[in-house]
Amino acid sequence: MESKSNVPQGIYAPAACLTDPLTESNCYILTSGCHALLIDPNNAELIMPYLETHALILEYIILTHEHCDHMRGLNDLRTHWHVPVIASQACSDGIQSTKINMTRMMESYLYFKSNGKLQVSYPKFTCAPADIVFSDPTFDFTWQHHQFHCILVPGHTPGSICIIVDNTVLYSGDYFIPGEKVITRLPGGDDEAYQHLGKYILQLLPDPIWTYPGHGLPFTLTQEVKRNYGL
Amino acid sequence: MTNLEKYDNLFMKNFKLTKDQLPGLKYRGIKIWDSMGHMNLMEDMEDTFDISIDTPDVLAFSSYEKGMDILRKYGVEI
Repeated sequence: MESKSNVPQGIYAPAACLTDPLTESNCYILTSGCHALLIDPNNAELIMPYLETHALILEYIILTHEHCDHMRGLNDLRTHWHVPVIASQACSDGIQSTKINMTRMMESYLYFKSNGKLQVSYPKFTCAPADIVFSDPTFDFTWQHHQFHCILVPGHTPGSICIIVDNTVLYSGDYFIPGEKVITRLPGGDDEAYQHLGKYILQLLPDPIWTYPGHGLPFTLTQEVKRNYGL
Repeated sequence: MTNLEKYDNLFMKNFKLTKDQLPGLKYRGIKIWDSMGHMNLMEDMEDTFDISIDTPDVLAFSSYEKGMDILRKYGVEI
């Protein structure tokens, strides 16, 4: 988790960021008293002990997109908690496919991404559909007096979303990953959709805004960051 | 359509090549056949020939010709 001193005053920051050691994806745990909401259940072996140690009741899971590195822990968590999952319709469809959720080629992907250092077993899996799905460009809900504004941003995958919480914090999924350009060539990726719609939506995101990406450390999204991202 | 024609079509579609450019083609020999292009090609191979290629074979699929040898291992007559 980032140093608390870096987090802007007055924002609703997550209680924890759990980073999967294999894929370096981030799971964010938001809390309100003993109530918890997860964004991207990357690894149940990290998440379950955290929830149990802090005596948290898991109430919702939100998926930023359908790739397995962001939801590998979903099946285990659902078995234990029977918790409703919120996702875009396309994301919900994608998690049911080994091709679109990337598990089919994940061993090769990790090998290539690590320049041949990682040769690991990564079994294919699928997940049941999300419980609360949306197809509209945006979806709003309230949890524990906090406002969640989900925005569909196609390109990286058809089901990718960004989430703005209380108008002050952005969860950007696999967009705005520090040091990386947007990737549209992974399963489900669509460069045309990104060029024609995704970029436009990302450009419209409010700035400056404190941002928690799907990989890497949090940062302030500014106009300059957007420009450097090719927007 | 023969399996060879299907095989060639996958290369031509994925990498925007003509048939005469396929012999001798190697992984990373052209810009678009990079790691991501390779994974997409492998998924298309699996879908087209209804097979599941083991990861060591995905990584060993290093050229147009080598790929044919690998598919034969999975019972594809090519």
